[in-house]
Amino acid sequence: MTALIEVAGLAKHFPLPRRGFGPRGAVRAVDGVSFRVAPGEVLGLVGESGSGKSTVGRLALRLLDPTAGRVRFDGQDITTASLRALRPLRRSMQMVFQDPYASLNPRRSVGEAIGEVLRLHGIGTRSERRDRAGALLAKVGLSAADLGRMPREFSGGQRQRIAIARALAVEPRFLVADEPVSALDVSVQAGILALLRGLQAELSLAMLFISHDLSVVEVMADRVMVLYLGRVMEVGPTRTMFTAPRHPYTAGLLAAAPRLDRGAAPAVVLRDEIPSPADPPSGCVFRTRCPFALADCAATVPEPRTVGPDHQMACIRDDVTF
Amino acid sequence: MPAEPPSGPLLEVRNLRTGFRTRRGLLQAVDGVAFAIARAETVAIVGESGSGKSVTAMSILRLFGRTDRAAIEGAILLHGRDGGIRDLVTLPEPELRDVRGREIAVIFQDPSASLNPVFPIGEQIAEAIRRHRPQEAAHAARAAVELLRDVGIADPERRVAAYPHQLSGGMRQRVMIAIALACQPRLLIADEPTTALDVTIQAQIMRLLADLKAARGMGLLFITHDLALVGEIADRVVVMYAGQVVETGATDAVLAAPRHPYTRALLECRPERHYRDGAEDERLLRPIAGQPPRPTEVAAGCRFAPRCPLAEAACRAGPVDLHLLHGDRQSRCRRWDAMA
Repeated sequence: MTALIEVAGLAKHFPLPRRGFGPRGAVRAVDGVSFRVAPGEVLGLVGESGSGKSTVGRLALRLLDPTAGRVRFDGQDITTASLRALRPLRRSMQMVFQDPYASLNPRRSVGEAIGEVLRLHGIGTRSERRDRAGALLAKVGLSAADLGRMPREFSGGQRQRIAIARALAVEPRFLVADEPVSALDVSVQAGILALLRGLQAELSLAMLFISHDLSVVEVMADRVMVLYLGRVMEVGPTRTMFTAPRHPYTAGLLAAAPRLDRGAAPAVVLRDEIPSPADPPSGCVFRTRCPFALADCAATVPEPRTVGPDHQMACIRDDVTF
Repeated sequence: MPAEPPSGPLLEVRNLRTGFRTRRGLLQAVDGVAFAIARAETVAIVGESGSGKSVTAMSILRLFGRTDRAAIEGAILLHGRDGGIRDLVTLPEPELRDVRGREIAVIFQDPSASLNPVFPIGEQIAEAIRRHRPQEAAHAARAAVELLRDVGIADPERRVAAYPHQLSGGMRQRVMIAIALACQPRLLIADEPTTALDVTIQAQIMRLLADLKAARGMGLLFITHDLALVGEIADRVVVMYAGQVVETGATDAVLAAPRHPYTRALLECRPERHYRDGAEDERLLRPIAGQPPRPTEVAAGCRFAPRCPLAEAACRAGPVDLHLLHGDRQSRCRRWDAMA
């Protein structure tokens, strides 16, 4: 299947304040990331804080300008497109954020919040927009009667449903969901995930699903990409990644995740913490925490290599299994 | 420190009722909670936001500010090393101050809110030692280094001079644990200590807590919303919903065969995926319908009834008591035997 969104060699370096007369440093938030998402496909993005996963999401939507690399949407290179040229495409690319308390204007009714997006894209008349907003609310499990209510009248889960309705109002083809259930209670999370999954399938949305929670990514994603210090460690089909990971970092993440049946998890213990992206280790960025690191790992940056169907990883070791 | 007998009660909470006086009347956040912690035992309280789990923990040491206008009723009995019993609900404030830190210590979700940003961490640990163990004041600085080593901070001789902002979230939580351990408490209360941390760091902190607890023979009260963490650390679990205990028992038994519909729903709402060869994978997403009640509008009958698949008219008629099933297993469900 051809990709709807395709990024190649993506990098984002945030410059650090100058200190003295030395060369100016930079936080290498994302470094050499490439991936494709096909229509109707969900790519899960996992990693610890500081891994660059949110930055990747923003770069893919051109909410941030990359330092290097290309972003193509539906075959069109949008890496350097002007804001004016991007505007019609914005309709096709939407985002759902983590905090539903911060992403809705507290002084606007739900109907206004959704109607505004439609108005900005010049869709429909005032009354058509109102009808459409009501239909969208019904689609996300609320009702048209909620149109006049204010965000504060809704729980966190309901607000996230409103944010999803707003993102889908303009019929996007690509959705970035950045930790969409992390701020919600567990009993509410499953409902939001089921909603997103259902809408994604129904609308054949391409989705980049970002989460630090592995069980959430496992249930949502068709393929999973693991980031560490701005670099892709491993990418592959969800089942392969969760049942037969090949990269030590993926195995370590799976081992660390709390689970009720302990038997199934690999026994890889990750020590220490993720280093500063302003001063990443030489060679393989993961080597300082890797239980399997060799002297060679400090010398060269491992290139991603294919280890199975649709399955790549960036590790020089072939001799470890989990 | 005199060795404690390995069993016997450490803390008993009886009919705890904690409310907050507001302009709209009394908000009863905790409504008749009872449980006990034996010496060297780990008990977990699990519940969602608004269940009253944190308020229960805060009530034990009366950690509310004046503006909270908290009203605590019931009894919280602390069994002393010498066999004496003190009720923390009525204990005068100066004596309670003595209990805080020395007998019972607390760590919270957000360590940066508990650390003083303008003092080096070693100084903050040493101060805790000086305050609660004046006889050891002369060695406080050296003891601080040892404590940092105990909580797994590398190069502690150098790190004592670090300020909180120079440390990661995981490191700060280790420092909080070091401060809590400074006075060799007999009970450590850990209120969502890993919620703000990455999974790899969470795993490290969980292992640290389990190791320290075993090495020092302390009791641990672990507050969380995550049943999987409960399974990793707790001997017994107390499940709370809308200010009440709904189920309690040995962790393995409760997780394997819940006897309250809320516990079962909480277990089932965790996302799961079952892989199938040659067929579509099964993705399980089972939310709990509806929402927990606000403290101002709790139902007369079972508080979970509006969301419960087993609820019948009698469940809504009047308050449901905790049923003693067997051993120390309890369920606040009239229909607990329908769940087998």
